[in-house]
Amino acid sequence: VKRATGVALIGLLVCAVETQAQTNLGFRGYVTFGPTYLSATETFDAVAGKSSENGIGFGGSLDNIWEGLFIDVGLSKLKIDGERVFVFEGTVFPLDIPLTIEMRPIDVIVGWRHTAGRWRPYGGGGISLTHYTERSPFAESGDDVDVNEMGLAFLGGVDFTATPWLGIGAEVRYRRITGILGAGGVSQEFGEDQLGGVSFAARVSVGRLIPPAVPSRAPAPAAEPRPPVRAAPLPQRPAPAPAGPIPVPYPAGQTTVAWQWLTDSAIHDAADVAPSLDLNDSTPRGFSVTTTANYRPWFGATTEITASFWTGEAVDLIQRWTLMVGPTFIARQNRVRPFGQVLVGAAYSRGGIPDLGLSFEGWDFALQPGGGVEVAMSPRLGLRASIDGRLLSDEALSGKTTTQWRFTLGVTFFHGGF
Amino acid sequence: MLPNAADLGFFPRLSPSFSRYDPGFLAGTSMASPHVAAVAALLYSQGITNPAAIEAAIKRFARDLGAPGRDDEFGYGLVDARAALRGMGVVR
Repeated sequence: VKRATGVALIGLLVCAVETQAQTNLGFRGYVTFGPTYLSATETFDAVAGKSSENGIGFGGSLDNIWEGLFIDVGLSKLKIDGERVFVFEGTVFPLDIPLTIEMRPIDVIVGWRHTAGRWRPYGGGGISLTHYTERSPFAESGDDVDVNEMGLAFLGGVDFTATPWLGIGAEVRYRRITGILGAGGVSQEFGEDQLGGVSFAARVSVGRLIPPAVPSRAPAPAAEPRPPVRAAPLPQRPAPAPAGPIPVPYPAGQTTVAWQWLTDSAIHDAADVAPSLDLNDSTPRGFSVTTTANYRPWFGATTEITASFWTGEAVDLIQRWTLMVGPTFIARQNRVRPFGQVLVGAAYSRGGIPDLGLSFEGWDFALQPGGGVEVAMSPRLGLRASIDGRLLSDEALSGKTTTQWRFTLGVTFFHGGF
Repeated sequence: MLPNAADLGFFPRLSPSFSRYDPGFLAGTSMASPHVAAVAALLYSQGITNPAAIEAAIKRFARDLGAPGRDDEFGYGLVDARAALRGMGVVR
């Protein structure tokens, strides 16, 4: 697998170099810093008293290989100190033997980055090769752990291009690594087999962030001198066709911050089981942040992060988080613009209903088709309302597919050039 | 210089010698229980004070002998003091 990955990387790099003269290839190196929230929360809570830790990372990216396509290779490190324990019926007995855990995932991500404007959202997916070690004193042969395992990685974020060579931004990265946890030790006691988790990080990028020109959006005439790169470049309007329909101006990108309400079939099922608990006395609600990179007037790539929280007298804060990506289609002929989208990704749920003896936490697959309407109030500001149907595999809570209906109302900021 | 008790004939005069002890084979709960009790005491000193948890730890880390799992000949297996005191990490 390593050899195949290496060959694929070399192939992509060769293709990238060959196309550089035609497509204005960009490149960057970056560092990241931020917390990682591990999926195996009970396991790491037991040995370290926490399931999250700050980590650092660095990497490089080849940008705009073709129409915004990028390939990103990132290495990060996470170190957690704890102690060996014994677990009996959920009770953890620390044994005063230090335990040092280190994870070094190498992520190879292929994705799309918006190539115009100062705010450049991006998203993608790929593989993660994770090197995992576990060491403790007085170890004999076979006591310590040193393994590598391949998994999946998904990435989404946004960069603010401060200068043509410096960018700052924030990103979310999700890894799903199986094959290391669950076969022994504390992870087996708690039945947790996912080593991955969600990482939130601030990111500083240095490199050739802004190509001198992007042929797909702003073809420059060969006979005219190319304007110098400015600190705040304004993407050029696509050259109008000599005849035919007038091009529809559209923003390079847009971000919607919305309030959301949901219905949740798993919660209704729990309410049916225990009607005396009045579980339907409140509605899950929360927020969502949706960023779309528009590649055509009618088409864009969307990355969305949502969070919903359900509180009540009988509930121990049930929360669901999602990270999803997918295509968005929108009709922009008027100020009132209907749109539709299909997003797929991951959902993280945790919480409990103590009176039912229910406590859960885990990751699930999420699929969310939906649509709505966007009203442009000004060139830079709009309102947006949407209705989505969301399906969660929901192994964490109900053990079966959960259906959610989601209603959102929010403010949309149009950014980048038109 | 005062004589000691042995010089006065109160005790037989014996010098330490391993030749005085013969190896022998002893088996049964009389021999097993002090070993298990010693491991239990070590676990207790490590902070595992719940008797059920101590019993579970001894069984959990015993080296399995004979048929897989508990069997009538070897029980849960051979008590492994090192493994029991070392406990578990994340993966092992």
